[in-house]
Amino acid sequence: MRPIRKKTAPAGVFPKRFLISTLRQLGQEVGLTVPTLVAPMSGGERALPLRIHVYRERRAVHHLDIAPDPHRPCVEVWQRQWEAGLAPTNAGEDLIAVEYLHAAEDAPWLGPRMAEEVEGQFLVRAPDGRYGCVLTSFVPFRPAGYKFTPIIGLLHYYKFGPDLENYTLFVNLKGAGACDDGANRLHVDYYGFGGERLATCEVDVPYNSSHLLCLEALLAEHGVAPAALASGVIAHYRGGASQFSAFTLIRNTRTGALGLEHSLPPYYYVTGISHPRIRVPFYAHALAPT
Amino acid sequence: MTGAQDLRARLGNAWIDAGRELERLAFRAQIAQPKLLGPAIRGPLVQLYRADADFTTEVGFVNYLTFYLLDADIGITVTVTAYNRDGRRIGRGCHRVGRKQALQRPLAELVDGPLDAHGLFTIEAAYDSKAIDAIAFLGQTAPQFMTLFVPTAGGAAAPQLLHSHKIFQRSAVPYSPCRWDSPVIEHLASVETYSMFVINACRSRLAGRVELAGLGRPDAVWHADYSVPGRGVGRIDIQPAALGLPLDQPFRFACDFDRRTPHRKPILFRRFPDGSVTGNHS
Repeated sequence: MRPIRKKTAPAGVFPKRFLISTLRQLGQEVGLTVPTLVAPMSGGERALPLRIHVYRERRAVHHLDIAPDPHRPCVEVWQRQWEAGLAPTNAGEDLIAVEYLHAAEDAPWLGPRMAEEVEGQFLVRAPDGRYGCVLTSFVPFRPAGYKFTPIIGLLHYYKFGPDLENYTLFVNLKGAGACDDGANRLHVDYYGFGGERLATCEVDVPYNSSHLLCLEALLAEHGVAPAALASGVIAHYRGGASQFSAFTLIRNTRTGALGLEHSLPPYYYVTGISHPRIRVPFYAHALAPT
Repeated sequence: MTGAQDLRARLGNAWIDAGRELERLAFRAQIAQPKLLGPAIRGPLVQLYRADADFTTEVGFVNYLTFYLLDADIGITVTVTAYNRDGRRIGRGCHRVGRKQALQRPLAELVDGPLDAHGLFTIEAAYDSKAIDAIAFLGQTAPQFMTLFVPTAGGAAAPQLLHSHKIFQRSAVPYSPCRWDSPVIEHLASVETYSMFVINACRSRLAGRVELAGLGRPDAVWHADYSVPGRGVGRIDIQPAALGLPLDQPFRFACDFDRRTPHRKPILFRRFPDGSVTGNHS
């Protein structure tokens, strides 16, 4: 539903980043495409440069700058490109954050553009060339000291079977000037489809990192028998204090094939949530202890 | 576009915009008077199903309200309706999920009838009437559901997940041509077959053209025209190797529509030589 008052175009640039993760543990190379943003007063000749930040073990370890061709609608970059010159690692997954570099003169047109729905493509590719992707939005990049709202994730669309594994992928960026240490703590309740609670745990997702959780392994650690999964599992995640993107992956263990989808925040199901009259009581209810 | 077509398109767009404004006012009235007019719930929502050699379709939904309002005891009744590829209704079922419950079943079971090889289905939610006071402060809500395209037994693919928050429009949509340039980059060299599904989420016949173009090149290197009955789904298959294109170059799909149906992102599946298939909205 449209707000009561019409939106006003933002005067400044609302910084956003496109967040994805490597998927080495699943034997995939990842890649991304993002739209080429061309300055309108440049006669179509000046495209904003892109910077691809690589975060490894919570630290910004590398970045790759790209000068897009203003005549091509988007830029495509693969893991092998931003990893050129980086030492190989087996230390989990890297967080990849993409930003548009811009000058002060770009603010009047870039602000409204970034306030729109700007999407990127998160690509995954197997060694034999099979690929899949999901389109997902850029997320806000907050200034130092910003007070983040805890996230609420409600994932009910896993698929269990002898050849299948289910994963939740959290990628999070704390923001400008943030301390690299520390972690988001997510409280997770797992329920069966009948509403019975199967397990409760805390998951630490370090700031400025990506975190790949295998659902079957995590539930086994918490004493949930594999037979209990067959009728379905709901994961209810709450907490954290950074900017998240979350994905669900289902893997065919026999062939390595993947299914991939991004999650949606509560806004999509309670559309007035940005209004303080709804937002305050909503979060008071939704974040109450269980 | 001729002058007459342009006038027709302007009138069509004005009609659509007026309809959306009326819909918005109706929702505002529901938000103000939920007891009198019922809660403001978006819907019906629409998505593609497949029931063919590659995939069956499962649909999952969850009682999201009781995960947001933790102390509430509200049941949600979901009505699922399926149509065949020509837009004929072929099944319907109602299912209730209680507090903190969810459901995920084959669509054919949910609508209590056999499916076509492909088509669209809709989801509508209703809340227990006793819950209206408890949820009134939320304003407008929308059902949370997910579609899983599950490979047929022994298939090489993984289940493909596709969400939707697109509206199914019960009424007709006037002439109002528009275009969707997909931001998704495609690499033809590794793909055996593309299957593109155009969803017509309204009562009018939908016609247009699917195109494939190189990056930064305005002219399409391939195109196919389509025409889909109201509430129907069109399928277009493409074998990249047969197109005579430089397969090592990236390409993008685009789709022209002769009217602004509510769902304008065709669903794209890629079949690879090992039999695995991936899919997403374009």
